[in-house]
Amino acid sequence: MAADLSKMADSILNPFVENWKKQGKPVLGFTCSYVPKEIIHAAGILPYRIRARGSGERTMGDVRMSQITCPFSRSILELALKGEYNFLDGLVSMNSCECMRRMCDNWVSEIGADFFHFLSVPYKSSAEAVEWFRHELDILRENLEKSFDVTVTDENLRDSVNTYNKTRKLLRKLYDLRKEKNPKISWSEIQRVVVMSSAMPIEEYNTQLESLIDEVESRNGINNYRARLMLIGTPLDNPSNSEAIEDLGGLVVTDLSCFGTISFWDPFDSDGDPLDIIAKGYLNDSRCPRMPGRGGERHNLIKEMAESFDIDGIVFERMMFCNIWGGETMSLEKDMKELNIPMLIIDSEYAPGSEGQIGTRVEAFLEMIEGRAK
Amino acid sequence: MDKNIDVIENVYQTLKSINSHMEKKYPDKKWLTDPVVKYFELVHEGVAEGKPLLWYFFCLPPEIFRAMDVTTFSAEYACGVMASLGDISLKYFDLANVKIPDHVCTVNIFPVGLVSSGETLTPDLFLAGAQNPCDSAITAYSNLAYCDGIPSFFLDIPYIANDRAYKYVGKQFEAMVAFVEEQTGQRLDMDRLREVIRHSNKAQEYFLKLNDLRRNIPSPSSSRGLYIAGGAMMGLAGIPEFTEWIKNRYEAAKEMVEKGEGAIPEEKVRLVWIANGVDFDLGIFEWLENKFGAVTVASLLNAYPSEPLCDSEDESEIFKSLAHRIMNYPMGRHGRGSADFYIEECIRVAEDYKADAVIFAGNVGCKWNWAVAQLVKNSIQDALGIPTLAIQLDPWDPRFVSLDVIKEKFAQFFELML
Ligand code: SF4
Ligand code: SF4
Repeated sequence: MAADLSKMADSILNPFVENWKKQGKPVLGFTCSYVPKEIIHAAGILPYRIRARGSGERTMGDVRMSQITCPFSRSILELALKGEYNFLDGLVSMNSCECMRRMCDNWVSEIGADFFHFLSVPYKSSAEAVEWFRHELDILRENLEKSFDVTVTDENLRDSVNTYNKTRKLLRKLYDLRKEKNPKISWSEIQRVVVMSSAMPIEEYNTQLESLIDEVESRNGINNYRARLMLIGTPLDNPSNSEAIEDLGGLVVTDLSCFGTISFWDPFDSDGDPLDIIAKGYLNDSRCPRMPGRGGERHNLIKEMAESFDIDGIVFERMMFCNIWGGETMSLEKDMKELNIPMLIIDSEYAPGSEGQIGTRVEAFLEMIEGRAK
Repeated sequence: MDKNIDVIENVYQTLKSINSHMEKKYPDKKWLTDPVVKYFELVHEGVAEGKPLLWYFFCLPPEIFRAMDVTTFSAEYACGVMASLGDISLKYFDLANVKIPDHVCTVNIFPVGLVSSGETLTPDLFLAGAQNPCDSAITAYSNLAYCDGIPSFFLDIPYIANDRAYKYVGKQFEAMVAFVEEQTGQRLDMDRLREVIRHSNKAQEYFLKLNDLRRNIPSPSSSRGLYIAGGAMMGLAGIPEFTEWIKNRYEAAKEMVEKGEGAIPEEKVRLVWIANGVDFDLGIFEWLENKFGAVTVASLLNAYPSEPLCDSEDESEIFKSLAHRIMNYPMGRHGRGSADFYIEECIRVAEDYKADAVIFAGNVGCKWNWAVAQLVKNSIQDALGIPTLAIQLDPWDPRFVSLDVIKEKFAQFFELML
């Protein structure tokens, strides 16, 4: 049963979503880890994180967005223009990064969206920023109520927070399995499973995840690896690169990446005003470098994870033309050097077949790590 | 902190000598170089006097800092000026690219190169606002500040510009002032701020009236004059000499309109520039004027907001109006908000100024622009029936696309158009 989750991550549509749609229930696409899924969920709508898996050759996306913008965003647009996202009933976008929000501009202009809501998500976590965001969430709530003819009560919101908190805790448990010397689940499987957390009804996901965790316990551990690695970077919804790393004997044990821990790591508070909890929960997270001035906090988290997962090196996968992560290179390289953690930087073009090109560099990186261990 | 002012000194002296050369050889054109000399004079003087040095991203209000008696430095304005002086900026771009990928906007990585070189003035503090308009600015400033231990303050600028947002940003200005006061020991003098604002408002009034005069056929103002005024407004708003300068520009243009004269003998094509420009060689403007009779009558970078700043006794109203100003800055408002808003403005400006063509001089590092380039082109064509020439270039680095290549693209465009 749980293996299905992993398989389903390879396509945009999956049986859970199809089933949901069959019941006449709406699905809203969202663009970034900082979009509060809880609000959408509390309105009885399925929040679906848009991604680019399976976009193949890009033509339409490149023409519209030119070839010097984020290829992940272009690939999403390609899929949308091909009609792969026709099952969505609308979009919730935000100021995540320039390319993603401009991708939405293209989407709305060319394809249209029955429902489109833009959230102005602060870049800071001060009390004023939380207040601003809380208000934004309230506007979203009202817009959902009006557009979908539903009522979103505080109780609904509290339930949603609890449901997603359960997901966060379960995913942490899943990640804890990677702390073992011989983990029983591969990284590419974890990556796929995490992607599914924003691609299907969350209650069913939690059930699936619980049984997956139980099932993993009975598997044999992986022991033929050369180094324990941490993956850092941009939206990694495509496990091809991870598979290429695994094939060479690199054991990715954890990550700080957009579709990974950035999307779930810390459970939110459960007491108090639910909008307040949600606003704080998202803004307190400094994992994504979209939050300026918090590099120190972010790198400390990396350090803590590096220790608890006992890593030997970092693979930093940057999406080409991503300003946010591109700029992060500067401070990340400096801090990792100081921490004496070797780091390999890979630029991702998000194009079919490009993962094969990383092999030589990963091999050299693994050899370097092995050399250090001697 | 001791400052190495060599680079600023060199730039300042170079600009001064160009300025006196103009005075001797082309006295009627000397005004073109006055603003940049003034800008570097202020930086030079301030640093020499040991005043704290504050670097700020250009979409913040310089008026506040002028009323705090600190030396202000906008690396974006400086980058534009230095790029026009030949090769001197290139090594800073290269130094920056050791640390930050080369696809990030050149004007934003320029500060990284300047600081890394160790040759020039190290800032005492940095100020910038996210995401007004772009990620590249904030990523460069925040990482540089972090790596070099430079105290920094980042504002959170909402995507949506409305009254709630202006209040929110205005409140942050109060916190920013407290931060600058704490870091520099300087105080914000509210009376002085009101005085600076009055100058800024006066300059803005003349600036906008000058923009309006360019709607005339023929346009009374040269393309280079337009571009220089836009940059100067960004670097020098609130400085009395600039108010006087822009007043003179307005009066000269008014006189020409009254006489029915244009900036060039025969205006054949009216151009509106959107996105960026070719800072590394402003001679492109004269080349377009001389070869094709093509005059630039408007640039989106000159589309300053029309609301004056508030100079009342109510401090919170002043901060709110400064927030309104920066959220409606050219480039700031175009990049931050939705593409619809940007495109509508491109169309409106092209229509108002009776443009025959639009030039999308697209900085290769400017993602928000390129991500809708096609949409912009098509929308302008559909709405006004005029063509848009989109050129991928780096406004500050001729090594990406040379002036010859840019000229060739223009030549091909005009061949089809004329
Ligand atoms: S990288 Fe950061 S800003 Fe971009 S989509 Fe992911 S979480 Fe959002
Ligand atoms: S040109 Fe574009 S990327 Fe560069 S500073 Fe301006 S808005 Fe930002």
